[in-house]
Amino acid sequence: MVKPIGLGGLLISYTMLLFVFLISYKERLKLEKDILVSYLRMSIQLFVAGFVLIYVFKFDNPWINIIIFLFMIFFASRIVVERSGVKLKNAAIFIFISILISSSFVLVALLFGIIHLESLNARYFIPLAGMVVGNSMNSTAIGVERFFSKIKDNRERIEDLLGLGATEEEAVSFVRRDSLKAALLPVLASASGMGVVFLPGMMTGQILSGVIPTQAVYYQIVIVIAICLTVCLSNYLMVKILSRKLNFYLTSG
Amino acid sequence: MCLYVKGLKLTFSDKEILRGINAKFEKGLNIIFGDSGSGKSTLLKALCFLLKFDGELSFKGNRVDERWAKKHCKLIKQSGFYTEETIIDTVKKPFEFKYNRHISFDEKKFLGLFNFFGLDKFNINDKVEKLSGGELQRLALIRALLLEPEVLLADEPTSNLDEGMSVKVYEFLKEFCKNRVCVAVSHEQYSKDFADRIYHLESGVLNG
Repeated sequence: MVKPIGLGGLLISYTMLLFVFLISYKERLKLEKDILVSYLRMSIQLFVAGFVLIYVFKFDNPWINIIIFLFMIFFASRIVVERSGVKLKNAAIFIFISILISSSFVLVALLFGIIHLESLNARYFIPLAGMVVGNSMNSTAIGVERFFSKIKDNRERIEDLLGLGATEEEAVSFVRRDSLKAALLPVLASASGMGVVFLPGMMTGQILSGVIPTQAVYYQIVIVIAICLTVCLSNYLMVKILSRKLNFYLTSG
Repeated sequence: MCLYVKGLKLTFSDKEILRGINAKFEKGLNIIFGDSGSGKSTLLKALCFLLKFDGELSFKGNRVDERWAKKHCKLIKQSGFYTEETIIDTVKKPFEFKYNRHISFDEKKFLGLFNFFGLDKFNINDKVEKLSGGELQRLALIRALLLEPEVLLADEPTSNLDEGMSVKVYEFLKEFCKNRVCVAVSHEQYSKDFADRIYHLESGVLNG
């Protein structure tokens, strides 16, 4: 069984951050405040999450689980909008819908088709949903950012296709292709490095808590494929929705 | 057959770029001249509904909208652009569009134009990035011609070409536009020799 770290261990860990802080200061990255805020926020969020999870596992009510799942996607969508700097009206709603549909589809297949759960058991559902939604969030932020920056850089190209009769969706098909690739490549790169370059977090966690490594591998492969599918689906849906919602009337001649 | 423009106004950031254009573009090659910044390119974009404007457009007596423009009106921009890898895929791309599906790609005709406009030193499967600015402009022209639009709009279609090739392009356009409405923007004086009608755009006002 995994040995508890305790407060002392945590404090040692926080001191490691001091090095990042010092490098940021010395190299004038001006990230000191961000480091402080990000890691303070992360610690508080995780402590609250740990505390809440105790009760979530205790009650194990499917409706509460679904509400938590929706909250996760809500915050993920907000973070994607913040990180990608997208200014399109209702973008957060479109991103929310994309992540919701893709992760729900994948989680249902994963929980009931592969793990064979009989109900929406919190102990499985919440951590797996977190992994799927979290990865989808990271890739969607890349995909959305690439989508809008590519549109900005290729206005003339898009206008050229519109002038030849393309609908807005058709005119941005090359942008869609590029953003989907950009979103998927990190997931593929990460999959290729697993087991050789690094042991993924979930597998490490299972091994630390006493699960036989070969058994942990099964879970890890299943989750990695589930993440890949969610990332692909959420980005595909998102770029499809976004390209229909764009308005290409240019503002200057 | 004529494209009728009534009271076309276009404003950008409180600046009136087109100030109530009234025009009747008839069958043939109509060429618009004007200083840079007079709104020539803006007018062409408005005519194919790429820009929002106030006013009315009608074709063959019927008021037309964006859907009509997507199907029947094609714009050639000043520079050639591409999103596909090869020459042939670039030319074929617009035939995949929903509003162009009624038009079939005529490879024989394409090869004829490809040779006529001096691009035959390339193979049609060559990468399009090999083409220079002038060659890309000719490819863009061929692509639009193959779509055989009822209304063809051309924004400085010879701006990257030498005079010999430019004359060849205008000679071709004059013949091509006999049965359709073509509106081109130009600043080259020799293009006047090929125009069926000449217009001048000054400070957002069009004079025929």
